[in-house]
Amino acid sequence: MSSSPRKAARRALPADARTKLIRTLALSFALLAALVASTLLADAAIQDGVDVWDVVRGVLIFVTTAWLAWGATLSFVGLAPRVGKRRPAPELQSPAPRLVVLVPICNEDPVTTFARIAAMDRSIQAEGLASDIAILSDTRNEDSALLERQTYLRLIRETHGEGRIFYRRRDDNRGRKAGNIEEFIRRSGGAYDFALILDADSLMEGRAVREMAAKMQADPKLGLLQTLPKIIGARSFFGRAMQFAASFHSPIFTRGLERLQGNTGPFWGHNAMVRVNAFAESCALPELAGPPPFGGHILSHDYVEAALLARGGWRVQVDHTISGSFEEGPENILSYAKRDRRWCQGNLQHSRLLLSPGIAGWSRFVFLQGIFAYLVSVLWAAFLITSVVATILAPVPNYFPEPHMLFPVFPDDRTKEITALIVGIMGLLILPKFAILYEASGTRRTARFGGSVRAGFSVVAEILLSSLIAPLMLMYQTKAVLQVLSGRDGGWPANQRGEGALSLMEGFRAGLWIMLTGGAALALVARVAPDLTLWLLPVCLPMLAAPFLIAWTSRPLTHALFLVPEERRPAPVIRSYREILGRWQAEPRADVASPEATHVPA
Amino acid sequence: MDEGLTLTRSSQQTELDMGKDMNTDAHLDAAQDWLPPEAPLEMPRQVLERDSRRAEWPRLLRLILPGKAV
Repeated sequence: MSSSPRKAARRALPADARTKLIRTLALSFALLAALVASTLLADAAIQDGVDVWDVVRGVLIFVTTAWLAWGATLSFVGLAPRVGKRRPAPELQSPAPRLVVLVPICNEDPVTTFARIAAMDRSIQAEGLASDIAILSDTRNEDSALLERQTYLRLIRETHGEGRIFYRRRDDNRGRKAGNIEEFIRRSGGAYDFALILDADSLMEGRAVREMAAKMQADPKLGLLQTLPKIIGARSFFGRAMQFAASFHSPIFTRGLERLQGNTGPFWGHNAMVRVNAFAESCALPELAGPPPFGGHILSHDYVEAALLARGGWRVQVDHTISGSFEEGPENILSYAKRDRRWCQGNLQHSRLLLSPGIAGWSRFVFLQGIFAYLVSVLWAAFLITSVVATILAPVPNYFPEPHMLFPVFPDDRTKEITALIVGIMGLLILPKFAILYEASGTRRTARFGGSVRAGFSVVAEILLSSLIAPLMLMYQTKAVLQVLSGRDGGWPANQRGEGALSLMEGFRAGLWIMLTGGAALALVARVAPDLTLWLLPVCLPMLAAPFLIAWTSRPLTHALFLVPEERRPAPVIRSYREILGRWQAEPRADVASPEATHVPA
Repeated sequence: MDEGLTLTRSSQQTELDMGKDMNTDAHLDAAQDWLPPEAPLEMPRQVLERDSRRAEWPRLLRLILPGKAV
C-alpha cells in the first residue's frame, strides 16, 4: 500500500509572515555578499581582458561566498533579540501520553549503550514519567548479539525493567535505521502516542523527556520535536574543540535555524520526539529506483522524514531551549571524515528528491543545502585550480599598447581588491564566532565556560584549529563527492565510537595522499605561477602537515582550554551513566538473571 | 570527563568469554519474551518520485556523471 500526497488529507502548513520576512532578509544578505565577492574578483581579473577562466572563477566565487554568507546569516538571525515574551513551557496534562524510548543499535558496544539506557530509565522514573524503552537491534554479528542479550539481562536487573524495557533483534536489517524504526511502529506503534528516537550514544535527562512530551501534548499539530544535543565525553584536542563549538556556538546557530525554518524544521535522526501516528502515516520510506549510491535505501533518512511530516501537514520544530540532551562526537579527524563520507553520500542522494511531489518549498531548499554542504568543497577546490590556470594563461602585459609611446603603461595593481575579497571571506567565517562570544559575554553565558577570558581563548583556539584542518576537510569532502559521483557506494558502516588517539603512522596512512597533493600543488604553483605561491600557502601548508595534524589533534587534551559546562558540573544523567558504567566495568561478569525474572507478561 | 570508562575490544571479548563459560546460552534462549507489545499500526509507503521521473532521473544522472554507462 502506498500513499500519494494527492490523497493526503492535509497540506504542508504555510510559513507565517515573520518567517517569510526573515528568510527573505537572510537570502538577500547571502546573495548580496556573493555579488560583492564576484564583483571584486571580476574587477581584479578583467584588467587583462575577459576569458573563460574569469567567468568560471566569477561563478565559483559567487556560489561559494553565497554558501559562506548563508552560514554566517544563521548566526546573525540567531543573535537577533527576541521579539515578544517567551511563552511559559506547558506542563504535562492528565491523562499522560503513552511514551516509548526507541534505541536502534547496530554492532554497538552493548555495555556502554545499555548503561546509558539504565541511566536514562532512572532519570525518567525520577521525573514520575511512565515510559517504555525498546532496544531495536540490527546487529549482524552473532557474538555481539549474544553479548547484547547478556547485557540486556543485566540492564533488566539493574532497572527492574521487566515488562517495560524490551529488546528485539531483526532477522534482516532492511532499510537500516529507518527500516528498524518502521518495523517497530508497524508492530507496536499502536501502543504509544509519542516515541523518543535516540542513537546508541544518546543520553537524555528525564526532565527533558518530560518537557518534550508536554510540548507535544500541548500542540496537536506538532509532529516532531528535535532537541539540540550537546557533545559530551570528548577527550582529544579535536574532540574537545568540537565539543566546545557544539556547546558554545551551536545554540545560537540553532536559534537562527528555528527562526528561518518555521514549521518546516529539521530532524537530525536522534534526540527527537515524534508523534507516532503522524510518523506512521507520513514516514514509510520507499526504496529509490536504481542501484546505490543514488538509488536503493534512503541513507540520510532523517531529512526526508522531516520533509514528509511537513508534507503531511505536521509541524516539525527544533527547540534549542530544551536542556539535558547529549550525544558523543568523533574523537579525531579520521573518524570525522569517515562519518562525513556517509553523510555525503546520503545528502547527494537527496538530489533525487528535489522534485518530489508535494514537498514544501523550504524542504526542497533544505535538501539543496545538504547537497551544497559537500559540493561546496569541490567548488572551492575548483576555484583554486582555475585561479592557478587563469594566472598561467593570462596574456603577457603589453606595456606599450599604442605605437610610438615614449613611456610604458603598467597594469593597475589589484592587490587591494584581492585582499578585500580574502578579508571578506575570512570575515564571514570568523565574524559569527566573535559575535557569539560578544553575546555570551554580555549575557554572562561565558561564566559556564570558565569566564569571558577563558571562553575567548577557547574561541580563538577553535578558529585556529578550524582554519588549520579546513584544507584537510576540503580534500576529504572533495574525495567523498567524487567517489559518490563516480558511482562508488560507501555503504553505511557502523559507527566507530570511543576510538582513541592515532599514532603518527596512522596519521601518515590517512593523510599521506593529502600531504603529497599539497606538496605537488605548491611545487607546481611555485614553478608556473610564482606570484600565487604566497596566496596558496594557507591552503598548502596544512596539507603538507596533514599526517602530523591528524595524529596531534587526536591526542588527549587535559588543559582547561575548551572547557564546557558539562565538564565542570555534569548533568545528573551523565553522573548516573558514569556510575553505572563504572560498576558494570568493574564487575565484568554478565550475571544473568533467571528466565522467570525476565519473563514479559503477554 | 569520561576517562577510563571506555570499554575496550579485549574487555568485551573477556566478558563474552566469561558469559559463554557460564553456559548462559540456554538461559538466554529460554528468556526470549522480551518483545515490545503487539499493537500494529499501518504505515503506508510514501511516494517520493513520480513514475515518469522515477525512470528518467537515474538515466539523467548516469548521463551527467562519469563512471556510469547510460
